[in-house]
Amino acid sequence: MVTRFVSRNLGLKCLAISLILFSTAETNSVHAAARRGAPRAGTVVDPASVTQVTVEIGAGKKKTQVISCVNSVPGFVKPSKGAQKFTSYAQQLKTLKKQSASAAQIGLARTLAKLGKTACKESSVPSTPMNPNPEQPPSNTPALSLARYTGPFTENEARILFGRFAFGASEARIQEAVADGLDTTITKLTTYQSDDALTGAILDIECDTYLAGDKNNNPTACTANNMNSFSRDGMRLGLNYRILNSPNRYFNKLLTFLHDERLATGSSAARDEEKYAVRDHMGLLLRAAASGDYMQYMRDWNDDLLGHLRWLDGASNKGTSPNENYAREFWELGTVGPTDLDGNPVYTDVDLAQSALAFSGWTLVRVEERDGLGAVYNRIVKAFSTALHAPGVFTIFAGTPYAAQVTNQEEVLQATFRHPRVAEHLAEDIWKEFVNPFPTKEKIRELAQLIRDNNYKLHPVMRKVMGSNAVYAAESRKSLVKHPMDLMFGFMAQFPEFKVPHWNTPLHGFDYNMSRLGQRLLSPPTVFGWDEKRLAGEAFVLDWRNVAVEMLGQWNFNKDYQYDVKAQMVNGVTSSLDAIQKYAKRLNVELTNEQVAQLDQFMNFQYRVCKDWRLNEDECKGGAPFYLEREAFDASPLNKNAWTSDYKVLGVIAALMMMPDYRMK
Amino acid sequence: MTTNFARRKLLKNASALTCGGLLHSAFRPVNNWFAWAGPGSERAAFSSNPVLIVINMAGGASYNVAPLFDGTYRDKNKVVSYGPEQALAFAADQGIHPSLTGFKTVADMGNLALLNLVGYPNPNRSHDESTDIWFRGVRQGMNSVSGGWAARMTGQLGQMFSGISLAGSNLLIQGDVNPPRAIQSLDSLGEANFLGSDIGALLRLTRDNMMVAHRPPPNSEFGNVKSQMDQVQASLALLKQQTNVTLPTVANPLPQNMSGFQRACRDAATLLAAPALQTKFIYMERGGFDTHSDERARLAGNLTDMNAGITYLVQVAQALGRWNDVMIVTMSEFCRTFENGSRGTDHGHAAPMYIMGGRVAGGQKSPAPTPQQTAERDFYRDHSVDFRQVFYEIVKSMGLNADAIFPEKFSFTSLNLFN
Repeated sequence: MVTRFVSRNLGLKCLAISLILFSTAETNSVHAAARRGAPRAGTVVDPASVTQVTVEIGAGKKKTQVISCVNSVPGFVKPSKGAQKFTSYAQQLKTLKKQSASAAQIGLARTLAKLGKTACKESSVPSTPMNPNPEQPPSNTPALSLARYTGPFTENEARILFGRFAFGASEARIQEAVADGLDTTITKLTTYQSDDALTGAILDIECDTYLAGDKNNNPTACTANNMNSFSRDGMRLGLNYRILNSPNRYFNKLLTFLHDERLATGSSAARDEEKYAVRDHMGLLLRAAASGDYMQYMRDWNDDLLGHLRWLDGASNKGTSPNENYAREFWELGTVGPTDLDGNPVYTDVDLAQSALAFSGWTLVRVEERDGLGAVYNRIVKAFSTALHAPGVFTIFAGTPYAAQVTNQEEVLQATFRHPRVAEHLAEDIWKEFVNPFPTKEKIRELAQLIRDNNYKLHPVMRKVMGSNAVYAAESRKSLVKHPMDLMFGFMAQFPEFKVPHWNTPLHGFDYNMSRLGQRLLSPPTVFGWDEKRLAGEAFVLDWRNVAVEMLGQWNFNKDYQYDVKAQMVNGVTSSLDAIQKYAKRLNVELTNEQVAQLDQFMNFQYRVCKDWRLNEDECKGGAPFYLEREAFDASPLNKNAWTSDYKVLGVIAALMMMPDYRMK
Repeated sequence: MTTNFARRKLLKNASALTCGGLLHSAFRPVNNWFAWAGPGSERAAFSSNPVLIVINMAGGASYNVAPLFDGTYRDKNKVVSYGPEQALAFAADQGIHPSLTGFKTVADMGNLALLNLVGYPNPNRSHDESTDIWFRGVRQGMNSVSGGWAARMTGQLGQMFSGISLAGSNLLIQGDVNPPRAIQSLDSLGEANFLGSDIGALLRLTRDNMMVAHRPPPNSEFGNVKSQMDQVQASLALLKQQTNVTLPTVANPLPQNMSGFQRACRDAATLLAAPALQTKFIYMERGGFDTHSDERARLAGNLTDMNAGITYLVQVAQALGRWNDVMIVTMSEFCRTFENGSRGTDHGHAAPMYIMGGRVAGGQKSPAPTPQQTAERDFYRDHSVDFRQVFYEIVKSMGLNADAIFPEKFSFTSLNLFN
């Protein structure tokens, strides 16, 4: 409301006028609040509803008085019989007058009523008018439970399901899901399908980032039987290619969840002689996503050269000179988390030191091997050395019911997975990634129990989550911020044939744009992975706008790539409103009537600059920099300016993508 | 039929965004696009108003930007190298590329420092990954440090335009607290064009009107995302206002049809002329240095373009009386190998690096590679100066906490870059 008032005013007058309007609005709301909810004298109030303000009174304003505000009404609160009772100064004033109190008492009450009215009103002014909604409290409503969702499964619910668990879906897939119903859709989504057919192409991309047929493809770039002979960038592009083309969209979403939220690792940690470790790590992620076996995932991490030995310094963890980096992140990020649901530490520094000793013993050795051409090349391989391993028995989780004696990393793993925090910590991350950002302790415990009941096998857990009330509840809708990968893979899901403009290839364009948005897979900023809120923050606002505009607005690339905008995006559109509704629905963007009107104007008018040759004197009077000239949208193939209708449809899609609605899932 | 409806909307939006911005500024913390602090609120520790301008020669620039005269090097680089008769004079064993005449002028003033064999441990020869290392400022234990060093730098400064990228967004400027703003250019304020100028303008107008007409955010997460979008728009309006300045006329003006890099230099000069913005970090980029073939012609073309832009920037800084504030530093993700079979060079490692500015103590700050180093392999794998050493010394000279900006330990010996 306030925003709208401000927006109606111009220039320097704006601030003053808007403040007046702001005050008026607030005054009215105070009165309304007073009418609706001002408590009577001595009314019991919830302490949470009371705010306190301090005012200065007396000559020279040297004294201060604390005033309590309830519904913006000033007064005071007194404890009585274990409750808090509120009396307004207005009520007190009436009482004092009835009681013929002294002029000083009446005067003080009058002053406090007057000062308090202003102070309470100011204290109720929201600090961020553009964001009127208070922090959403945790909710325990049935709607946010893990109980089976029994409501209708329409396109809306299908879009939520695919948007959160599968990087989105094409329109055809959404319709198929609606016809199938929720259960069948979940079954289909979580049934692994062979994507071996992609292997050849992925290996080709991993070699030099290009596919056979690309103008820069070099078929001899990689040497056979040389495990380090591939491109690190190609490994990342290959992963992008896999996610774009594999039918296993849920499994690949799970892969990115593990890669991002549960110990993120960067390919740059591997030296040239051990580049193959990047491919090994990719294999680790693919196996974990396919099997859903979380305990095995962490066991594989313990043996991982890239993640454990390089990225987290396991190769420097010697029994005589321990390095605790991996031991710390194994617990903090991979398993139990640093604190429990009540904020109590789960482990101590001594536990960590003991765990690090149990993990010690890994080293790296350079070996010579021969490639397919018979040439010798160096490769660094991991090796376990009992001489470097700390001897003895170590106690972890000491002094807790989960205390354990361990001697090696497998025993640390076993002991850790006996700790209930592993499931709770995992449950927290799953809830915040797939359901909503405000899980309650009760829901975490419930989901954690489900994880334990399934022996840390994630697929049955995820099926339960996918079919739960909590995912489809109104409170959860549009509450999760999309990652750049959600935006990019999601866009490609909507328009499967789309070619991302780039001077190189569309796959490079895809990767380039995701990097612009701050997310390059296999190159996380830290072991904590990416922070989607930061990536949706101010530093990336322009980037996202530009990615949307450039992907859709580079006409030459569309032609070069033979992407047929008309066939893919325009055909079937009958009118401007039809296009707006079609794409708002498809991109899951909720529009107000005013926004629809704006888009309709975009489609039916041309922008004319007053300085150019099309100058229309009437329209440019008064120094207007431009005016709009009506040119009705016409998608008919008979339209001589058919290309303008293509532009307009592309523009509508770009405008929708730039809305905050599109950034949320 | 015509209408002015949209214009009214535009004005309405402008007022909502600018006045909204002013309203917001009363409520927002300092580390925010909205937190506008006027002149005079600068940290007292600064005796001047230093500005670090980083110019990335993207693609991996050849050592021939600072030609080596040693015979071993010349023998290994028969086509692409330059002798003392071709290069601009600088030192007995090393010159300045003949296209960099403006650099030579600065060198003659005693304000150009040249560092040799700049790199980092365990070289990585991938464009992306080596760029990441330069941008992040971390080589080992990269998991412990988030974002780029420039973002950590501007995070300490706290003004909304403390840092500006005139080359889009990248890891260097990504960070959690007050990162540099990626605006691309002052003409576009970061807005990419859509198809044509008219339809692009209409799309921006439509988008801005749609933001004003947006439904109330349904939850706090949504509200935060929308709020950030609104804030950016309002901040850009303020930036436009502040950079509406006329630059002084200089001896070597930029051509009418300036290149993208030259436009970035013009914008950097404009930012120097807008001290109220308190910009202390500017990032620019010039691509095309991945010279696998035909290096000689391509390098000359790239450096001619760069020279025109930087010469103009230097002259404007001098005319504005800000030459002593400016530190212009070139970087590249890696250097290159010696000549290959295509009269080009491939990916290498340790590189030369230029630093210019009124306070810069000129000269060769680290020795040119020896004939033995050149003979050892086909590129300079071993560095003698860690790149972080250079930037560490610079940010420290600006009164910043350099240890927080470059938290990873590395070998450090003062390079005595400044007078």
